[in-house]
Amino acid sequence: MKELEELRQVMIKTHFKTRKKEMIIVTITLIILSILYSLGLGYYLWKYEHITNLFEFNGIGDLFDVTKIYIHTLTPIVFSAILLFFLYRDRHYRVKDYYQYRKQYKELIYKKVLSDIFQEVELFPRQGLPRSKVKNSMIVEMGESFYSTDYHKGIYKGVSFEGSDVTTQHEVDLEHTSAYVNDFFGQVYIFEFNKRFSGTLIVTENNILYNKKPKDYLEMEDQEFNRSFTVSTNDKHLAYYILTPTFMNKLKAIKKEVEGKISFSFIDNKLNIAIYNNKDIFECDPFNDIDEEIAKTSKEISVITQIIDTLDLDNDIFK
Amino acid sequence: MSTSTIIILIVVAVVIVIILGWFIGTSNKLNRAVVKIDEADSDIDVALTKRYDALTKMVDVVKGYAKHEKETIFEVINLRKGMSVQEKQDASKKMDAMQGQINVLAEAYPELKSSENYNTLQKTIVDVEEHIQASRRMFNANVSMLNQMIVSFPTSIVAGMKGLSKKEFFEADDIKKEDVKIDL
Repeated sequence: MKELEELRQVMIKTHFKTRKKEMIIVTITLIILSILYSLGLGYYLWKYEHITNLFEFNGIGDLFDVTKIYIHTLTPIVFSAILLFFLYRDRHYRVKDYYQYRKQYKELIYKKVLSDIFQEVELFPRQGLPRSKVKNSMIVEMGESFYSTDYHKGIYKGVSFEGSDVTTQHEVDLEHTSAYVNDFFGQVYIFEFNKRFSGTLIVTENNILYNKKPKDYLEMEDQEFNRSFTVSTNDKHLAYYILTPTFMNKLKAIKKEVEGKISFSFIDNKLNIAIYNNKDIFECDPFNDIDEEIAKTSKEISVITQIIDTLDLDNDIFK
Repeated sequence: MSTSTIIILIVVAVVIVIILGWFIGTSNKLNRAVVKIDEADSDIDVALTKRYDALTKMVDVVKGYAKHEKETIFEVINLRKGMSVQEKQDASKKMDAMQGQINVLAEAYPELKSSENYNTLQKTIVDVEEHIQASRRMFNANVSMLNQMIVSFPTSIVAGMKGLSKKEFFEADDIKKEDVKIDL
């Protein structure tokens, strides 16, 4: 951890040095570009539009001359804004050694945070849940392309789990080009469930559409639950067996606590959970203090303990 | 036959076909609801039988530890095919009582409570009770659906013609409406 902090400090120092140089170069470039652009536009207007007094300043009234305002003020501002936007947007990726830092960070910090809470922790930042597992969970719209990273697994209170970031996308045709739109962007977790069963039960938050659901929809006795979730199953007995009144209350509580849209599926003695929150977890910011980052990560993974604790998955009386 | 008479006949025929189609559709819907209730009913039978079997095994285990008290925990419970909802409720209550007696005995015999067989059977019973609750809720949901159709107009007409009447719910004791909790 000490090594990592040293690396971070060196990296930030180097970054700010480089950044200072960059800013000087960018500023000079901006000034040259602005002058060139203004001269070019001025020449065009003088030559073809016969406007001759563009560069003359004839008193305060000129400040309200739209053409002059545009040439002398707006041009440099627009250039600066565009450049600064790109500079700021890519600031992490332009930090020298960022990738090296991120790799070490994941291996040291995230593994430590996970190991402090869970047993038998495994973390593979470049791997994710296999596509087949995510697809078989039946709660993720699979789209056309699939990415999964930051695979992690472990055991909490005797309950084994695995999870990763998942993104699925489909292509949409625009007029002259095409773009990828997210079908799912969040995390998928698979927990060992504490009841033995066969059949499929899917509980999705209302207004989420998935491509493959069992055909039979079911209204439960809890109207508040029905307003929050859609239940579909190929075995009604299974639905009533798992969705006891208490369990439905617990699912409602989890829905309130978790950020993003949440869906559950119960298949092959497993509980699959998909959280669509438009977020990647385990992404570090080198400009943040390590303790701050640890706190952020602990919060991110608290969803795992929260689910196991709230749903009493460690209760083995049904096994 | 005049054109207007033909039109009237066609209209009447269309109306009759529509009514007949609706009648058949509604009748089939009611039949399906009754079948679902029967399925849920047999689901309860299966769950009750499983619970009874588990309790019987439990009694055998208890016998080994509490020989001189065995009479107190034996109550005759008859499970047979075609029991009415009331009879099933009674059998379920008797099983609850038996389970209660077993739990009391287990408190008095710590060796019994800590035995592996006892704990395994307790877990089985808890699971079976969850299945009974599931079957009961499914049965009641199906009964509720049929009863709603029977009292709703115009389905009530078809239900009346078929001689269907409102079905009885399988009521649970208040304590059983909650999830099963057990101290092992």
